[in-house]
Amino acid sequence: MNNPIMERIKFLAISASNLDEFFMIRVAGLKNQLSLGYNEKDMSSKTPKEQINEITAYVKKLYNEQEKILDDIKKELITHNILMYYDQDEEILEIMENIFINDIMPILSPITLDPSHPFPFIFNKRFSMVLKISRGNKEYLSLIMIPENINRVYRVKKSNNKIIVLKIEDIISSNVSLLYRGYKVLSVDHLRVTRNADVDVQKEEAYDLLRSIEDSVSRRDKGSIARIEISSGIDKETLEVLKSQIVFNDEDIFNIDGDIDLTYLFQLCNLLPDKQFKPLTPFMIDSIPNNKDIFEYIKKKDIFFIRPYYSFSMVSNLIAIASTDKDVLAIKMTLYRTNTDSKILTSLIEAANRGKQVSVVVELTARFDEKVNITWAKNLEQAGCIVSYGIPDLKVHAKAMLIIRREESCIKRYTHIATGNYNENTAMVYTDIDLITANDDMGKDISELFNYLMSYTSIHRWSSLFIAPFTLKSRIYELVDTVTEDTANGQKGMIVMKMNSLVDKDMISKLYKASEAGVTVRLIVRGICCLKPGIKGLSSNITVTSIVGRFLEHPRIFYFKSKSLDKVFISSADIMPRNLNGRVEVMAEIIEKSCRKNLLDYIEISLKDNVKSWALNGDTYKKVTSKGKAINSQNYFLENRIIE
Amino acid sequence: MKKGLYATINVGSSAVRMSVISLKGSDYKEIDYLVKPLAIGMDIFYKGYITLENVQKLVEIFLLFKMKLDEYNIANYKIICTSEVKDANNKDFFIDYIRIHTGFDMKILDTSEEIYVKYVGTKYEFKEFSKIEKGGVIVVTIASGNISINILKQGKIIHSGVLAAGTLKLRSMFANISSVKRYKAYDQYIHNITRELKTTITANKGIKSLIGGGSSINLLIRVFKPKKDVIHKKEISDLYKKVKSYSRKELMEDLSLREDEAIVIIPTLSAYIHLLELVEQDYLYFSRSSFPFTLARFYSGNIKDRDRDKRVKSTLLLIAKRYNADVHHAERVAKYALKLYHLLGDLHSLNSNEDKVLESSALIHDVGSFIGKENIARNSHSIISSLNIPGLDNLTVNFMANIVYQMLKLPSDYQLNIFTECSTTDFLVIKKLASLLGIAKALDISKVGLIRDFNVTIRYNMILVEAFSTKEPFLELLAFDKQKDIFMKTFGVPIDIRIRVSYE
Repeated sequence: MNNPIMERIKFLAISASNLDEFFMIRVAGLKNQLSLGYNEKDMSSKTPKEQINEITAYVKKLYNEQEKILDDIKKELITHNILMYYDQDEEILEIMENIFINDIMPILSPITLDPSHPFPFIFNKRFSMVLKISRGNKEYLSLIMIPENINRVYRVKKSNNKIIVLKIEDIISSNVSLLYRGYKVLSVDHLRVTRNADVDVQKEEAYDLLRSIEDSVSRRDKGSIARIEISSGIDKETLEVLKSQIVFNDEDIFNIDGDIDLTYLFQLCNLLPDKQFKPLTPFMIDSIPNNKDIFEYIKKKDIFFIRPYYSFSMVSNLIAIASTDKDVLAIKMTLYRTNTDSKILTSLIEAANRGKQVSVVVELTARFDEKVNITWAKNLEQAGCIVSYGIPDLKVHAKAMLIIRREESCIKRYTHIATGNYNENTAMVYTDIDLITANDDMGKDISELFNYLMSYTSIHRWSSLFIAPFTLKSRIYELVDTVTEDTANGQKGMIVMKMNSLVDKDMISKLYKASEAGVTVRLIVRGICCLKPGIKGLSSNITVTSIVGRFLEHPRIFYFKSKSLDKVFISSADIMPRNLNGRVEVMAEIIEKSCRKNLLDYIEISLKDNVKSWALNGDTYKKVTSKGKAINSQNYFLENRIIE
Repeated sequence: MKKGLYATINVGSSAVRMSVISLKGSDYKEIDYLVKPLAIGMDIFYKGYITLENVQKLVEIFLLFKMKLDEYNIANYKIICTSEVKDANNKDFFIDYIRIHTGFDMKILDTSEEIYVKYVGTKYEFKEFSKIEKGGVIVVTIASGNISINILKQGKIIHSGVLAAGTLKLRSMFANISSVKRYKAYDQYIHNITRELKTTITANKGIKSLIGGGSSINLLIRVFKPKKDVIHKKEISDLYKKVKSYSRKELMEDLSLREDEAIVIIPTLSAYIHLLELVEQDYLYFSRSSFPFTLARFYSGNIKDRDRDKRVKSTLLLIAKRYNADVHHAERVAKYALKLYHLLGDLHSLNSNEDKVLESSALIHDVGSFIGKENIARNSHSIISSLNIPGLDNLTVNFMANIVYQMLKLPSDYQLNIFTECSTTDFLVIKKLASLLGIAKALDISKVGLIRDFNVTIRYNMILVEAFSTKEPFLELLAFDKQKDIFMKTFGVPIDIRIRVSYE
């Protein structure tokens, strides 16, 4: 409730969008297992069927919660003269009719079912209306699929200066007689189908990977059923028709009392600009030159910063400078998720046009970003860049960039390693760490990484970086073991790990062992955490917190301190089997003294957060409370320059 | 010496490797190293030719490597095939196909040049080499196709050669024997072919060190993970005892090896154990540098054998000695030949490098007499052309064989068809050098050094050699008379001799 109302609206929309993805991937996966007759217990010690049942029960509660929150928001909006509840007075009815006639009706194509009009295919996440209509004594079922390219809400200003938010389904319902002339409309219900959207391409078998993924993405809208959201009041007879035509069963159904598909709220979160978070004005590091002198600067000092508190434009600028610098020979970059209007990629195209060798390793299977990545891959190739798609059966999740520059007849490499993507949009809302360095060992290792990713070499040697699925896992295990051994030998030991997910069983066992050896283990895990903290005789020295604030916590930071060890790393990898074994990831030590200090300061403040932190206790998170000074870590970093 | 960036691509038996080095003055740094497995050695050893499939795979690899050359904008590079490639029946097609499809011109490395580059590389890359060399050292490179060996002691190469026992070659030779006892075949074969080295080692009062190189060392580094550049014989023997009868799959699992590594690990261990036993030493020293890296340094001029000429000369004298030639005579003939070469520069108009060829030819011109008095010219030619002389490439060695043949041949001798093998220009060079060498040999035909020195006077239409002798050199005068005609036919100028005897 402390957050501005527009941000709460946005968060509700995000939660709806995330829930969609959860059904499209996770629930669809479980249902897929069931349909194949597989019902064995997994590491959660539950069968797919049991998991689906629990998810269904939980999601139903979640829908109620969302509805309640939306209700509160609607009430609060009234105080700001924005009405999502309204009386359909004459003025409103007229507005609705005008909108319907001018904007909506021309693009609607209702389908009334009869032998010559069979039930149409309903695409993934398409909001639809199901109508029961009659003429004479004959009843029909009709379907209106709302086109994708139409607004879900209209904001209109009434003569009393109040803003009314009109939903498209309400506008259609109010004017449905215009659509079904000569028919009587008996009932109007809402329907939304969520389908399996997992893209399954065997990279190794794909002759043309780009084409295969394009095909798979286009099939995404037609996947098997994962969820049916439908109005609570729908009559039994209509439901039976839908069940037989769309082919779903009772377990797939979620009856919704309120609005279906709250992602429409994204269209409302800018309604009251003064009721949003204060606009973000990221810090810049002023001493960094904005011309080719930047290379001299980097040779003297690493550039290290934390997004979004510091501007990601420092990376975009570097690439822009490199693209026009005559001494730059080549630029290489990994691309996992990016924005459609990426300045970085535009600079890369510019560099290629200027004759530099530009190589981009595009991960085409970055979930839900496939289309953007395919478009960029084509554009980059067209500009003369060398585009490759990584290694069969390994997702390239590492975020790395290399600039190769000729300096005094030698070669100098400039490396960028980050925990977050080359995405200028998410760089404003995700927290991440960036390092730009001229360190020769790191440059050589990143060059080696690109050699591997671009199939230039089959044998690789890394000396300073740790790369999954080769050396990262063993190194991080080794680091935990060393702290554990030192602590068991009577020295003080500490491990701090910040990540999105902690799932890897072996790592969890090692952390339990560390805890029982006396190591203080502080974990900041934003998402899934399979470790249970605070259990006597197992994890009594471990605490797990999760920071949920204005920005999405995203960096992976690993800090190990004991008698023989004092090292801090950043990484693109979460501690999950998929990251450690099935993805290409990078872990880099932060070596330069000032950068190291900045990162340790960041960790310290994050650990002290008692405003936006939630502590894991058993299986549930509880809001951290503290009698001491309130520390909202994200606000602290917004207001204080911790890097000069 | 080249500046900036230099790259070499090495097409070996089991992989294609690329090394990019950055050069600044005498400083150097390897900035990139690429490896792509390609089993052309298997093709050559099993089938005698390189399959089209592998030729096309090489095209793909070269196109990737080409991108690397573009990445650094490298103009200076060299592409070398190691010597096994010359055993492929379709080597000309192979080289031509690659040139057409990639634009790359490949050079097949001579065995002698390969050994020499490896030796020079080790010398530079192995710390304290000169100290070790004094006590005697075997520099051995175990590769997929062969084992190259240089034995050095006190600055001299006392043996240089190639053993047909490359690890992949051995594996293909004994492919039909069960893995349970295949190691016995390796042991027997390696023991057999290394036996002859024992004589050389004993004759030179022992060898104190063994330095390894080549792809086999990379494999041992992966297996033993040595912190320093040395592996103890016991480690190698213990591992060999444990895994010698393992199958390929067991080796891959137990030692975490790739398949191409599992194929060659047993013959590699066996070879090193035999060599360490041969030199009666416990330590295998090694250099971690790759062969393409060494090639890059060598061809960019970053490393040079400063004593190359001296070393080549001592190797040639050792060869002459091995063939029972009179070394003092050989040295005198070489000295006279060089003097004639320099005094008659205007006449022969040869370039400055050819004096080295003349000197080298002179040092071993007599090796054919080892076989017998008959057909000395042909025998010398056969022996010389079969030599692997570190520091001299095959072309030069063939040139030397032809010079010696041309100088020694009698009208009654079996005629080697040198002319059709050489260009007209080369044949003229051979004739000129053979004529000079013939005169030089004539001046010491009695092999006792009667003629101590000489001067040359060039007069109109006449060259006069004024020789200083301790007594009347009848045999030399007779021999000179025989060579006069050849000289005349070569240069179109008569040559004569006048003796000045200084009585003791």
